[in-house]
Amino acid sequence: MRSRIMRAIAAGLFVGAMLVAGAAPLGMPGRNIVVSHSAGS
Amino acid sequence: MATLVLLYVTCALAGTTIALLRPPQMPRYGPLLAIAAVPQVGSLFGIWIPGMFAISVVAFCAWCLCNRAIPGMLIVALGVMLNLLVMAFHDGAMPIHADVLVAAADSAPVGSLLWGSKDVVVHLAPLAALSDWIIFSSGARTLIASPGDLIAAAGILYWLLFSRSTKEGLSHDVISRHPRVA
Repeated sequence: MRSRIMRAIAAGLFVGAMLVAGAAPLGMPGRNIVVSHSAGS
Repeated sequence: MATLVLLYVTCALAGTTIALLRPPQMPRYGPLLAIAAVPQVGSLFGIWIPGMFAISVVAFCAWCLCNRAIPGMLIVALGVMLNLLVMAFHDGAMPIHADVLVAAADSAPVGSLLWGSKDVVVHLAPLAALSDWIIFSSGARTLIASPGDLIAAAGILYWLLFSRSTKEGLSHDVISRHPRVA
Protein backbone atom coordinates (compact mmCIF):
# COMPACT_ATOMS: atom_id res chain seq x y z
CA MET A 1 0.00 0.00 0.00
CA ARG A 2 2.81 2.38 0.93
CA SER A 3 4.56 1.60 -2.34
CA ARG A 4 1.33 2.29 -4.20
CA ILE A 5 0.99 5.70 -2.54
CA MET A 6 4.61 6.53 -3.37
CA ARG A 7 4.05 5.56 -6.99
CA ALA A 8 0.87 7.65 -7.13
CA ILE A 9 2.77 10.67 -5.77
CA ALA A 10 5.53 10.05 -8.32
CA ALA A 11 2.90 9.87 -11.08
CA GLY A 12 1.49 13.21 -9.92
CA LEU A 13 4.97 14.73 -9.99
CA PHE A 14 5.48 13.38 -13.50
CA VAL A 15 2.17 14.94 -14.60
CA GLY A 16 3.22 18.30 -13.15
CA ALA A 17 6.70 18.11 -14.67
CA MET A 18 5.34 17.17 -18.09
CA LEU A 19 2.96 20.14 -18.03
CA VAL A 20 5.66 22.56 -16.85
CA ALA A 21 8.15 21.27 -19.43
CA GLY A 22 5.87 21.22 -22.43
CA ALA A 23 2.51 22.86 -21.97
CA ALA A 24 2.22 26.59 -22.53
CA PRO A 25 -1.26 27.77 -21.69
CA LEU A 26 -1.98 31.33 -20.61
CA GLY A 27 -3.89 31.61 -17.36
CA MET A 28 -5.55 34.92 -16.71
CA PRO A 29 -7.02 35.71 -13.31
CA GLY A 30 -7.26 39.36 -14.27
CA ARG A 31 -5.23 41.70 -16.38
CA ASN A 32 -1.85 40.49 -17.56
CA ILE A 33 1.32 42.12 -16.38
CA VAL A 34 3.82 42.84 -19.09
CA VAL A 35 7.35 41.75 -18.31
CA SER A 36 9.19 43.30 -21.24
CA HIS A 37 9.01 44.10 -24.89
CA SER A 38 12.21 42.34 -25.78
CA ALA A 39 10.90 39.09 -27.24
CA GLY A 40 10.37 38.65 -30.93
CA SER A 41 7.05 39.70 -32.35
CA MET B 1 0.80 33.13 -12.52
CA ALA B 2 -1.68 31.99 -9.88
CA THR B 3 -4.04 30.53 -12.46
CA LEU B 4 -1.27 28.58 -14.17
CA VAL B 5 0.19 27.25 -10.91
CA LEU B 6 -3.34 26.31 -9.81
CA LEU B 7 -3.82 24.45 -13.09
CA TYR B 8 -0.52 22.57 -12.77
CA VAL B 9 -1.18 21.63 -9.13
CA THR B 10 -4.77 20.57 -9.90
CA CYS B 11 -3.61 18.37 -12.77
CA ALA B 12 -0.83 16.86 -10.64
CA LEU B 13 -3.31 16.07 -7.84
CA ALA B 14 -5.77 14.59 -10.33
CA GLY B 15 -2.91 12.50 -11.73
CA THR B 16 -2.00 11.31 -8.22
CA THR B 17 -5.61 10.34 -7.55
CA ILE B 18 -5.98 8.41 -10.81
CA ALA B 19 -2.60 6.73 -10.27
CA LEU B 20 -3.68 5.70 -6.76
CA LEU B 21 -6.76 3.98 -8.15
CA ARG B 22 -5.04 2.55 -11.20
CA PRO B 23 -1.23 2.49 -11.01
CA PRO B 24 0.21 3.49 -14.40
CA GLN B 25 3.47 2.33 -15.93
CA MET B 26 6.02 4.77 -14.56
CA PRO B 27 8.26 6.66 -16.99
CA ARG B 28 12.01 6.39 -16.47
CA TYR B 29 14.78 8.97 -16.55
CA GLY B 30 12.95 11.56 -14.42
CA PRO B 31 16.03 13.81 -14.19
CA LEU B 32 15.84 14.40 -17.96
CA LEU B 33 12.29 15.69 -17.53
CA ALA B 34 13.43 17.87 -14.63
CA ILE B 35 16.20 19.32 -16.81
CA ALA B 36 13.58 20.08 -19.48
CA ALA B 37 11.24 21.69 -16.93
CA VAL B 38 13.72 23.96 -15.12
CA PRO B 39 14.23 26.45 -18.01
CA GLN B 40 10.47 26.56 -18.50
CA VAL B 41 9.98 27.46 -14.83
CA GLY B 42 12.52 30.25 -15.41
CA SER B 43 10.50 31.58 -18.32
CA LEU B 44 7.38 31.67 -16.11
CA PHE B 45 9.28 34.08 -13.87
CA GLY B 46 10.46 36.17 -16.79
CA ILE B 47 14.00 34.72 -16.78
CA TRP B 48 15.24 34.26 -20.34
CA ILE B 49 18.75 32.89 -20.73
CA PRO B 50 20.10 32.21 -24.24
CA GLY B 51 20.20 28.49 -24.94
CA MET B 52 17.81 27.46 -22.18
CA PHE B 53 15.07 26.74 -24.68
CA ALA B 54 17.41 24.44 -26.61
CA ILE B 55 18.22 22.60 -23.35
CA SER B 56 14.49 22.09 -22.77
CA VAL B 57 13.93 20.76 -26.28
CA VAL B 58 16.91 18.37 -26.22
CA ALA B 59 16.13 17.07 -22.72
CA PHE B 60 12.44 16.57 -23.50
CA CYS B 61 13.18 14.81 -26.81
CA ALA B 62 15.63 12.49 -25.05
CA TRP B 63 13.12 11.79 -22.26
CA CYS B 64 10.36 10.96 -24.76
CA LEU B 65 12.71 8.74 -26.73
CA CYS B 66 13.63 6.81 -23.58
CA ASN B 67 9.94 6.34 -22.67
CA ARG B 68 8.46 5.84 -26.14
CA ALA B 69 7.24 2.34 -25.28
CA ILE B 70 4.90 3.63 -22.56
CA PRO B 71 1.31 4.08 -23.82
CA GLY B 72 0.41 7.75 -24.18
CA MET B 73 3.98 9.05 -24.17
CA LEU B 74 4.10 9.49 -27.94
CA ILE B 75 0.86 11.52 -27.77
CA VAL B 76 2.40 13.69 -25.02
CA ALA B 77 5.53 14.04 -27.15
CA LEU B 78 3.49 15.09 -30.19
CA GLY B 79 1.63 17.77 -28.20
CA VAL B 80 4.74 19.13 -26.53
CA MET B 81 6.73 19.10 -29.77
CA LEU B 82 3.98 21.11 -31.49
CA ASN B 83 4.26 23.67 -28.68
CA LEU B 84 8.05 23.71 -28.79
CA LEU B 85 8.02 24.00 -32.58
CA VAL B 86 5.95 27.18 -32.59
CA MET B 87 7.89 28.51 -29.57
CA ALA B 88 11.15 28.01 -31.47
CA PHE B 89 10.04 30.74 -33.89
CA HIS B 90 9.69 33.21 -30.99
CA ASP B 91 12.90 32.76 -28.99
CA GLY B 92 11.29 30.13 -26.78
CA ALA B 93 8.08 32.05 -26.02
CA MET B 94 4.60 30.87 -26.96
CA PRO B 95 3.00 33.36 -29.33
CA ILE B 96 -0.47 34.67 -28.61
CA HIS B 97 -2.21 36.90 -31.11
CA ALA B 98 -3.19 40.33 -29.78
CA ASP B 99 -6.74 39.76 -31.04
CA VAL B 100 -7.01 36.56 -28.98
CA LEU B 101 -6.13 38.54 -25.85
CA VAL B 102 -8.79 41.10 -26.75
CA ALA B 103 -11.30 38.28 -27.25
CA ALA B 104 -10.41 37.09 -23.74
CA ALA B 105 -11.13 40.59 -22.40
CA ASP B 106 -7.48 41.53 -21.97
CA SER B 107 -4.83 43.41 -23.87
CA ALA B 108 -1.09 43.96 -24.01
CA PRO B 109 1.22 45.65 -26.52
CA VAL B 110 2.55 43.53 -29.37
CA GLY B 111 6.00 42.15 -28.55
CA SER B 112 5.48 42.05 -24.79
CA LEU B 113 6.16 39.04 -22.62
CA LEU B 114 3.41 38.27 -20.14
CA TRP B 115 4.28 37.68 -16.50
CA GLY B 116 3.58 34.21 -15.14
CA SER B 117 3.27 32.62 -18.54
CA LYS B 118 5.43 31.59 -21.47
CA ASP B 119 3.53 33.89 -23.81
CA VAL B 120 4.60 36.73 -26.03
CA VAL B 121 2.00 38.93 -27.72
CA VAL B 122 2.33 38.94 -31.50
CA HIS B 123 0.57 40.46 -34.46
CA LEU B 124 1.56 37.80 -36.97
CA ALA B 125 2.94 34.37 -36.13
CA PRO B 126 4.35 31.60 -38.28
CA LEU B 127 2.36 28.43 -37.52
CA ALA B 128 -0.34 30.60 -35.91
CA ALA B 129 -2.67 27.60 -35.69
CA LEU B 130 -0.28 26.06 -33.14
CA SER B 131 -0.17 29.15 -30.90
CA ASP B 132 -2.40 29.86 -27.90
CA TRP B 133 -5.87 30.64 -29.25
CA ILE B 134 -8.34 28.20 -27.67
CA ILE B 135 -10.14 30.14 -24.94
CA PHE B 136 -11.65 28.44 -21.89
CA SER B 137 -13.51 30.70 -19.53
CA SER B 138 -14.81 29.76 -16.11
CA GLY B 139 -16.04 32.56 -13.89
CA ALA B 140 -13.26 35.03 -13.18
CA ARG B 141 -10.56 32.76 -14.58
CA THR B 142 -9.70 32.42 -18.24
CA LEU B 143 -7.34 29.94 -19.78
CA ILE B 144 -6.00 30.20 -23.31
CA ALA B 145 -4.46 26.98 -24.61
CA SER B 146 -2.82 25.78 -27.80
CA PRO B 147 -3.68 22.63 -29.76
CA GLY B 148 -0.38 21.19 -28.47
CA ASP B 149 -1.53 21.74 -24.87
CA LEU B 150 -4.73 19.78 -25.51
CA ILE B 151 -2.89 16.95 -27.28
CA ALA B 152 -0.33 16.74 -24.44
CA ALA B 153 -3.16 16.71 -21.87
CA ALA B 154 -4.90 13.93 -23.83
CA GLY B 155 -1.63 11.97 -23.88
CA ILE B 156 -1.18 12.35 -20.12
CA LEU B 157 -4.77 11.17 -19.56
CA TYR B 158 -4.20 8.22 -21.92
CA TRP B 159 -1.02 7.30 -20.01
CA LEU B 160 -2.81 7.44 -16.65
CA LEU B 161 -5.83 5.46 -17.81
CA PHE B 162 -4.43 2.95 -20.27
CA SER B 163 -0.91 2.08 -19.17
CA ARG B 164 -0.58 -0.45 -16.39
CA SER B 165 2.11 -0.70 -13.78
CA THR B 166 4.68 -3.34 -14.86
CA LYS B 167 4.65 -4.71 -11.31
CA GLU B 168 0.89 -5.31 -11.39
CA GLY B 169 0.96 -6.61 -14.94
CA LEU B 170 3.68 -9.13 -14.07
CA SER B 171 1.96 -10.39 -10.93
CA HIS B 172 -1.30 -10.73 -12.86
CA ASP B 173 0.50 -12.62 -15.59
CA VAL B 174 2.20 -14.95 -13.11
CA ILE B 175 -1.08 -15.71 -11.33
CA SER B 176 -2.95 -16.43 -14.55
CA ARG B 177 -0.21 -18.80 -15.74
CA HIS B 178 -0.11 -20.71 -12.48
CA PRO B 179 -1.11 -24.31 -13.23
CA ARG B 180 -3.60 -24.43 -10.34
CA VAL B 181 -5.43 -21.36 -11.55
CA ALA B 182 -7.87 -22.01 -14.32
